[in-house]
Amino acid sequence: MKIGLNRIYVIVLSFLTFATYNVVEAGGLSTQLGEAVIENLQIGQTYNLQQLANLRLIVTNTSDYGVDLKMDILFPDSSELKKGAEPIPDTSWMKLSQSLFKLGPNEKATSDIIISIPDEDQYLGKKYQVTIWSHTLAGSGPGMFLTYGLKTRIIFTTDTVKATKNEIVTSSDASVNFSLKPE
Amino acid sequence: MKKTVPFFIKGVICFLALVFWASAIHAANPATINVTVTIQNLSVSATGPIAFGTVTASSVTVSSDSSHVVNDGNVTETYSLNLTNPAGWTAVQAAPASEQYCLSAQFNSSQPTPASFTYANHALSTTPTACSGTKFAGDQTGLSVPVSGVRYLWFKFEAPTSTTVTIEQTIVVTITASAV
Repeated sequence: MKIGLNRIYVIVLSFLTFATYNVVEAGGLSTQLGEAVIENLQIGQTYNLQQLANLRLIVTNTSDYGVDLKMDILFPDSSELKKGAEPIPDTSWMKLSQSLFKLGPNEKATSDIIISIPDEDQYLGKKYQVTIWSHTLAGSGPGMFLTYGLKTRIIFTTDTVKATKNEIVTSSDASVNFSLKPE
Repeated sequence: MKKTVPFFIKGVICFLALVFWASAIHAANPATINVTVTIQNLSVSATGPIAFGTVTASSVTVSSDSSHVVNDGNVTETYSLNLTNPAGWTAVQAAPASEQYCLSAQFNSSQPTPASFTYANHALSTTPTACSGTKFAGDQTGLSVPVSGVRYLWFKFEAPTSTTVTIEQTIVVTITASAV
């Protein structure tokens, strides 16, 4: 019996380079920045966390192969909200100095984090949370099926009072605390 | 005496006004910016890929191998999972139709049965979804995975009822770790 191709569809489902090689690879990412909390930012101001607190996002490719890495700014899921924060009103408030990287094995991606808060009184005295999702992209190495990601939490509060021009602090005068986990 | 009392009262009023004004200025001063950074090693690794081989339309296949997902950081982590659609196919979280598929994921110590996967708890979508006691759970979960914890991630693939695609397809699954 002749079976027409329009009646039976054979789907070859595999994962490209490993269809024939059957090699098991381990890949991953790591970062030391799981969470940062910044208090008393001023509305109407832009802050580069590198200048403010020598803080940058650094992500390491712990795989044995090269990867393409992307950093995205996301609204946090409701289950991810911490410390009484609410989701940032607009993810455009946060920018990264660089968001696309090509990393070799054990190479690091580094990006500055910039926060700009609109000059509107409705944002006085608030606590917001935003997520930076650092993740590898498909097609960037032999382990194409599985890609990896890390989520960094940035929680910030705005001051209850609007500062005058002379009172604005954007760098080096901030009080910076570091806590280590595990403690 | 008559002139002394009103003068005294005026003095008290001025003093109180001065105290109030000074307080108002103090309350209006902007607060110091504080930055608290939690230094931790947030890290995840996993083995792959997972090959399903050749499958037929409308078939249901559970992977014969799992991905070993390891928390190789130094903090407890919760995982989120999502997928990226291949060209020509769309993931659904229900029984698939033409050009649709359903890819489900489950953390389990051994290969799960097809019936143990449910659309509500195990079907993947393009939106990163956090693991919980039920989401992507079997006898293991991706919720609050301790340091050095190893989880075995299995997949169930439900093929389209029909498709014009006859070449190899790659469906990318992303495992994202967040510090608890």
